[in-house]
Amino acid sequence: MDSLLDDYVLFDNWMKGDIAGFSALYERYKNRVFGFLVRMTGEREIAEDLLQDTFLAAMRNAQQFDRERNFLSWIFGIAHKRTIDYFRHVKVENEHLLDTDRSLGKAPDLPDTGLSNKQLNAVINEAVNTLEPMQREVFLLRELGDVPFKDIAQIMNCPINTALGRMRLALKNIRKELKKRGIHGLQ
Amino acid sequence: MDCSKWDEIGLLFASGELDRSQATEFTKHLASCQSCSSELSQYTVEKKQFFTQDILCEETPGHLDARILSLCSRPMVPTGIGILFSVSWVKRAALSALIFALGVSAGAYFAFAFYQAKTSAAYAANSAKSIAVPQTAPSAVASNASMVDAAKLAIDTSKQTVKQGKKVLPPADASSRGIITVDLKKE
Repeated sequence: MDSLLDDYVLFDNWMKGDIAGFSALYERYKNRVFGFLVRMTGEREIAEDLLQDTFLAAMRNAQQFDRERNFLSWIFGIAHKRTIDYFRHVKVENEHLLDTDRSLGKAPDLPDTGLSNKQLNAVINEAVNTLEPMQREVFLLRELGDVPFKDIAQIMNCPINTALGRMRLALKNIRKELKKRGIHGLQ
Repeated sequence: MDCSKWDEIGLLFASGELDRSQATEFTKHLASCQSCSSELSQYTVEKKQFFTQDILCEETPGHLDARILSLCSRPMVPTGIGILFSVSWVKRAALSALIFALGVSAGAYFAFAFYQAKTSAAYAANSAKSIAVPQTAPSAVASNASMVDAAKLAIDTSKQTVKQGKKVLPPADASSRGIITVDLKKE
């Protein structure tokens, strides 16, 4: 809750022309949004462009920020729209060559993060990448963005029960993939 | 065996989106439902172990951060409807007054144009009526016209006679039309 209050304070500062407010919000959420974009597009370079587009769009449309929603939900909503626009553009450009679903399912070109749990990271990412695009998006919005299901339903323009159903399927499929690799959630 | 309660509200409970009474009710249900409590435990563990920010987030490259922060540190130039919200209340009031004045002027202009068009139409209708009047008494108009013609002829003849020093010869039917002629020699 404090984080949410902080977000509003930072946002208000940003609106008053204090660029430090924007910088703080960017620093706070850039990695989450970038993680979402990398997993949705499967390409780091494209995700970089989309991250830039997302924050620029946020800056341009800052006056339309709805305070009923939290900042992260709002920024993930913009990232979702940018991703949709990107795939629409790709589909138009390569209509005969590329299937959007296949491109969404492509394994991401992830960097060597050097984390201690690198192997676990890779396994989880592989499991997430096997999900259908809609399931993956709901899963990432919820787990990466902490976006409430009612906002996910709004972002994805679907009933809340559909969003919940996709999340349940996503969890089921991830568990299946983890089991295949000998990893179990409950230890 | 799966419980339908989990499908309906289990994930909403886990994400803290249920209202107080629903949450209390589900907590009671958890105490008696093995399936739901097992699902909740598994999801909670997975969230802690696998679906963490460390695993799902992606580090943004430094050059990207620099680029985005540089682009977003420029002064905000609102577009579209954002322009209306970006100005102070004084400017907003002035803008509203200007828009109102323009609206009133446009209304007055159109009302005047309409009135003018209506008046012209009425005048045209009246003119048409007045032209039609002689048709009701054609003989009077004809006699007036012939009298005017006779008078013109008499004046012309008089002018010629004066020039030539001759006696004015009144037209044969001049007297019958009541035209007075003057004998210059007698004068």
